[in-house]
Amino acid sequence: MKENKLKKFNILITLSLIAALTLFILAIKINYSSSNNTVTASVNVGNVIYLSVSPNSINFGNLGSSSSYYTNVLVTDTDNGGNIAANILVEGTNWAWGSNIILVGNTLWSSSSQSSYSGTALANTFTITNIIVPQPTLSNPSTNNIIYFGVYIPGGTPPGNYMQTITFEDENVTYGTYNTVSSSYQVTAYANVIGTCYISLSTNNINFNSIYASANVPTNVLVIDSDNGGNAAASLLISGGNWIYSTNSLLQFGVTNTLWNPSSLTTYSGNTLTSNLINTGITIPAPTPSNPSSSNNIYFGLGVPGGTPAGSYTQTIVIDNTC
Amino acid sequence: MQNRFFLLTIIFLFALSTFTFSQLGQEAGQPYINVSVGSTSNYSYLIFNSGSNSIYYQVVLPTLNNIPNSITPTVLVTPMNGTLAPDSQQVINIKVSIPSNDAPYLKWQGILQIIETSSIQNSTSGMGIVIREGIAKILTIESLPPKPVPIVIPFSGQPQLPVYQNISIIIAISIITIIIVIAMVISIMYIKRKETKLKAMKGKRKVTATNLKRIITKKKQIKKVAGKKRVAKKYSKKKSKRQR
Repeated sequence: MKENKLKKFNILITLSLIAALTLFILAIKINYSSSNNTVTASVNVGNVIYLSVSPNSINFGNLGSSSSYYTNVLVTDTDNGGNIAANILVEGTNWAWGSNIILVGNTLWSSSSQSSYSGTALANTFTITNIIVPQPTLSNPSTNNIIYFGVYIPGGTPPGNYMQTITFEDENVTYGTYNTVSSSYQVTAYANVIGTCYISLSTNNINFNSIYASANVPTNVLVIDSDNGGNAAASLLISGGNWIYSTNSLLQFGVTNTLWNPSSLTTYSGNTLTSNLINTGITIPAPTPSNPSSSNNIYFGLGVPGGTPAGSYTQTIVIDNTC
Repeated sequence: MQNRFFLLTIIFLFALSTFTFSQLGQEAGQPYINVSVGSTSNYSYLIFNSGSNSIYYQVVLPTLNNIPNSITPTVLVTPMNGTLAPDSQQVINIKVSIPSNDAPYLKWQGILQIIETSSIQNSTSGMGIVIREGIAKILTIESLPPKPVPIVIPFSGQPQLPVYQNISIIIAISIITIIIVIAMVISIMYIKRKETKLKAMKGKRKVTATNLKRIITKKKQIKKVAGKKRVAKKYSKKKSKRQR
């Protein structure tokens, strides 16, 4: 009986305390609410540029020495989710294949596609292109711009698979901000330089002036066969046609009256020119990076057969380089 | 005044010719083309103009050597002529065909030329040579045995693998089929044997856990009874022996 009473008394005390506490909390809340009923939140959104370039590799394919690829290979610079405009900066490394290099400046960039090899030379330090990636906005959170590349292979460049790395950076000068997040910022460029030979003759005309019948000119008339910018050695092939009278094509004398020789001779002597293309054995050496132009000589002489009618005669000779 | 103008023109033209030029070039490598008799092969290479003037060019087809009792291959080149723009390149394609009645392992050679055909003025009123520049390839063609004749499945429109490859596949499929059949037969025999055993066991009481306990208990009881009987029998035998 006594215990029951004690129990009831304890319960009563506990309930009273709970009620008091609840009233106390309510009182505080009402007091707070009556003095301030708004919550202010604030956040500071910083300036940010996200950089992503695509594609991550470009291939200029097979290129001959002393040839170029037009400045029309595009790379897209994208800002996915930034909030300020950015200027594109680029820099590059030299092209390299083993110990052979092609200087970085042989790569050009341009803000528009070109139908020739033209633009601004890439450097090994960052260059401001003034190609602007527009400011992303809430309605357009991804913006981009395009930059184009072209390349020239200098004369004498040895054949090989060359590689260059182009690095991008986006910058907003006003805010002093560089791309804070880069998912991809480098492009690897490839170019396969193939063996190449060229031909350039020092003259396309030989003038023997006036020669009497039965007279001759020593085999000392020089023609220089040059290779300006190739990278492979070449052999000189030659053939010729008959001498033809200028006003009557039926009047001719034979091709074999023209002689050729690798070296200058003081007399009318040497190798007989024929209508069949033959290998003279004269080699034009392969140009090199330090010496991108090579050449060799061939000399001609002429003997006019006796009884040849007077007048102007012309002969056509073909000189081919083969490699 | 006229003389000065003429002189200026000459100087200008000279300067122009100095700073503008054209240069014909080509990719290195002499073509060696293998062609199966009765078929065609292709070979391509690049030609270049590294100058600032256009180059007009013409292709001169090779004259191949003649081999007795054989037909000389046909060589087609595309393009046969054209203009190379400044600082540009062009693909030259060579297509070689050898007739089916030619023998294999024959070789032909000839020189393919690409000659610049830009206008060249003969600068002499006397004896003069006009020299044309060109690039050349020493073409070598070798005939190979004919390609295997493909089997064409009717109505498929597609040629299938060559005969000898087809036979190998047929043999392989046959072996696999035989193995599968044998495996099926063995499995069927096994299943039948199982069924026979099951049928034999069908009449017997189904053994469950409860049954098993009952069976064991029963068996024990039987054993007990049997044991008792044996003992009883033994005892009775002994008794009958004693009684005797």
